[in-house]
Amino acid sequence: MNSVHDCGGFDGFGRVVPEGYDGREPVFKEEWERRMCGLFMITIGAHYSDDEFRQSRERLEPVKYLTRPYYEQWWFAVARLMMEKGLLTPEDFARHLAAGRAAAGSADILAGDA
Amino acid sequence: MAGQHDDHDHDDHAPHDHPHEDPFHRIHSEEADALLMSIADIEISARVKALEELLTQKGLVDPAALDAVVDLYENQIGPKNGARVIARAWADPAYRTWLLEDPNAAIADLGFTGAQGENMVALENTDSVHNVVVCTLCSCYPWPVLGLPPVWYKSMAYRTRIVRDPRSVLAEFGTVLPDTTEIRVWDSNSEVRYLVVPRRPEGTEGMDEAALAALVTRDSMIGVTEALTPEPAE
Repeated sequence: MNSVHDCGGFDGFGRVVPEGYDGREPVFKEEWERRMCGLFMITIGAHYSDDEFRQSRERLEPVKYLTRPYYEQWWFAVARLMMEKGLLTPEDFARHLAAGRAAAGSADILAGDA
Repeated sequence: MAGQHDDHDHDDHAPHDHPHEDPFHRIHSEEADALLMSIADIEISARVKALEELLTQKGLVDPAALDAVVDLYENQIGPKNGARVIARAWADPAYRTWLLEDPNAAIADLGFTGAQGENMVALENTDSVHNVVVCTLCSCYPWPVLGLPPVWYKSMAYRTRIVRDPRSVLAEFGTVLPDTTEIRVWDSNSEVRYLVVPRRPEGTEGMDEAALAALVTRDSMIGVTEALTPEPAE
């Protein structure tokens, strides 16, 4: 598949910005990155292969591939594979996230932010 | 699969009519896409949490196991492993030869094995050749010896430019090589993982392996820098 992931040689992406050399930066900057990496490590091998994971990431819509953080791209890749394997349904996701938003909304109301 | 019995009765182009042909009951990728795009702007931390909770509810993920595996990569598996390999290769000529000829066995001999290290290749820097590693297609990296890759290694800037203009990228890391030094850029494929063996710095004669290992940085084993030079003696 040819898409933006096959980027070797492209111009225009600017300078490389090391965040601090030689392992001094933290492995994860945010807790959600840590959880996402763990979700990947627990499910790869058990439910999908390395190659399926790679291809799932490559199928991310190109603008999102270029603009979303690395571990968010992993979220798209794993969530997609789980649905395509029938292990999660789109309804599971929609219901769970709607419930989360409803809870957050009522918290806002209670806090007087509504 | 392609080419095998393609002439049997695949005259019906409507896969919905044949759910029995789909052993994994896969939903169609368009359906997954639509759902993912519809929730793509919810804050990512909430989406990760939802994914973890759903997979936990279904018994597919044990949160304690998740913590354990992440802790491994945060606190135990990292470039200190690779530094021990390089220090041994500098100190022991027989080990160096073994590492270059059979890196999987030589690295496993120090206890470093596991995912993303199954097919290792060791690339030795010399006075005339400098090696540097990238994964242009994704973020392939030798986890057992280097841990998880740094952010810049996964960036579009590095992936796009190192293959085309390596000398200027290395300069951005402070690595300025003589024009006579050949730079070889190695693009990881889905199977092979590379480990650069940096040049042993001058002034390290007689140092033991632990002292040598302290000079071997993560970046020098990717090939964007050289090993550190020892502090001059007081």
